[in-house]
Amino acid sequence: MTNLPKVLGLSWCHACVTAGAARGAAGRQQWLEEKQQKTPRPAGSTWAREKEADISLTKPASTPELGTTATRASLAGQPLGRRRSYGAGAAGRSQEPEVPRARDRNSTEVPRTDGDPRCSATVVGVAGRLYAPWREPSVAPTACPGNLPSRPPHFVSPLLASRNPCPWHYLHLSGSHDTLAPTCLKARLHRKEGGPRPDVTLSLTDHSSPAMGTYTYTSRPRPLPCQRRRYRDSLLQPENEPMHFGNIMYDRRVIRGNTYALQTLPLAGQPDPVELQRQQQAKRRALARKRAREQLRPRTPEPVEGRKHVDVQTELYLEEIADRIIEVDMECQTDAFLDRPPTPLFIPAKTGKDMATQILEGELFDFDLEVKPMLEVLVGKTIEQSLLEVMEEEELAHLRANQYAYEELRNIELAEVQRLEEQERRHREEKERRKQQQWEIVHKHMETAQKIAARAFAQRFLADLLPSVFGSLRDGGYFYDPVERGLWRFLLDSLF
Amino acid sequence: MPLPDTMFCAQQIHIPPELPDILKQFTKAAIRTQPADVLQWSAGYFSALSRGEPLPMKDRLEMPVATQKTDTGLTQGLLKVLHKQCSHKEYVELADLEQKWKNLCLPVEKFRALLQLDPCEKKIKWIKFLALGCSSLGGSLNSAMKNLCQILTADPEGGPARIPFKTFSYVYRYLAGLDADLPRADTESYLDTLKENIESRKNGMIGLADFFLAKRKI
Repeated sequence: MTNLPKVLGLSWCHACVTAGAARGAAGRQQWLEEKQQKTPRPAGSTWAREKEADISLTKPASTPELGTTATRASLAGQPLGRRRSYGAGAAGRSQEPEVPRARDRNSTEVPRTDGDPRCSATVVGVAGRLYAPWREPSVAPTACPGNLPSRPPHFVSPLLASRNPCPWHYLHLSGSHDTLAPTCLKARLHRKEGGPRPDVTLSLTDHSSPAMGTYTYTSRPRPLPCQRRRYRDSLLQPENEPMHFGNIMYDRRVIRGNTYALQTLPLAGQPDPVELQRQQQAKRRALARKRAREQLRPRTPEPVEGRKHVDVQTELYLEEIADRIIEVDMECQTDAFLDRPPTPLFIPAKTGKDMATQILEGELFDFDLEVKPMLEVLVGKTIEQSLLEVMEEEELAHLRANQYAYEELRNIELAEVQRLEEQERRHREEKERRKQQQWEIVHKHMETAQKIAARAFAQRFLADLLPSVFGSLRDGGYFYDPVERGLWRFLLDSLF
Repeated sequence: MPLPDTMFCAQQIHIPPELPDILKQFTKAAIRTQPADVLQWSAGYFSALSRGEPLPMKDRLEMPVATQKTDTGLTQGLLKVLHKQCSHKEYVELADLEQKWKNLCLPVEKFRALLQLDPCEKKIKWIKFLALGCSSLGGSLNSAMKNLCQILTADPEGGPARIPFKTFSYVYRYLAGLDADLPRADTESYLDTLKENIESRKNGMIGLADFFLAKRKI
């Protein structure tokens, strides 16, 4: 036994197979009973059985020959599939009818009946150990119709990989013979990837029984985890898969040999109509052939009335299908454009610290104290204003009183003045009157004196005048006798 | 919004709106009247105010305040106040008058002494009491008549202070009657001369100038 885990696994399987052969009919009988007791064995159960078989085998006598056989079988490579049936002995032979059934399962046309669990388990164990590493991880027929992997899985053990230069061949072979999911291996592989599985338990129940397998194994049924990872580890890191280098000698794009015989292509853009026609015919033929082949294939009968076909996994082991990446639609709807709200009033952040103090009623307000300034104002203002007003009114009243007093005095004095004026007037009138009187007296005196003087003068003046005038006049003849004069005048007139 | 029960600041103290006015008027009255006992006078003031009677308040501030030490303490202003309070009735109750006298912070003994000049029961004719008060202001009969004229007159202060000659002659006769020294005949003759003077020019009113100035002149 080697220390490599894969090789170890392989050797186990072969041990199982050989153990199955070595045990013979008795072992098988007991096995069958055991199987029937716990009929639908979950995936892990087969593994347990193998383990059991392995232990039962290696315990009594681990002959080197057996071990080498197992190793050889496991490392056999391509012919191992065929060889296994011989090496497996009774077990291999008994499961001969199982093989085509298993192959048929891929096409999902034949519904799987309840087969012999023991045999299938055994086969699974063997097949899984040997071929699973190169098989397509997902066996689900719906998801992967071709069942051919595009590349060898990266976990191919170097030993085996070196033995199989073309994984395609190998895979094809293994696929044709054993298509059951190698659950044990898968479990192991996964364990290798993701650490030990807690739900797979192994326990040694009966130590006392020497010959029989005393392992019991319980494991909860679970779907096979898919080998293909659903997500990349990271977007930045590309999957570190090895580049696939094909053999250039088989690449059809590479022309080998000389190129003289090659038909020169017609001028580009002007394909030969004959050639075109031939190609079309070939295409049509291919299509027709394909259609005919499809029609020839046996198909699932039409569903009964009221039913319909549904895709169902029909493998023995339920497997998670992860071909199609699960997509989830997420939506995000932004809000409609809204009007910009008005800029809120800028309130500067509060600075300082808030402190609080409990104030009981009546602690803060002392009426006597608080009323003092008000009273001071009230009283002081009132007194001040009253004083002012009293003074003003006093002044006004005083003024008025003085005014009246003066008026009274004035009235009195006016009366006095009037009286004096009247007196003065009277005095003046009296004076005038007396002056007039005196004046008249003087005037009369003077007149009288003048008259007397004039009379005296006249008397004296006229005293001489009268005789002289009379004398002259007499002399002048002014004094005559009118009769004499008349007589004379008459005499004289009469004479002349 | 009604005020909360608790007071927090001085702004919450409510002052009745009529208080300042009352306070001011009271202060003015106190300043004018210059009572000796403010409390007594205030009681009289506010009782009169509440009863709607004329207030015991001088119209004018009297600078030479009576001291009540050498004189009776009675002044012309106080007599005027009393006249204002009592003149609406012809007769006044003595008790009432005494109360008013007290409210003006005048000594009751003086009141009694005044009344002893003309003893009477319970009530007294106001004009007589006024004449007595005027006579107690000091001076001669003439100055008493002058004071009386100034109190009774309806003329503004400082004016001629005219009063009806009838009242004048009544008071003059009354006062002259109290004085035993004055012969009755002189009084009558004096009044007759005044009457002649007045009837010659005016409508039965005698002014201060009619008798006082004349006296001074002489």
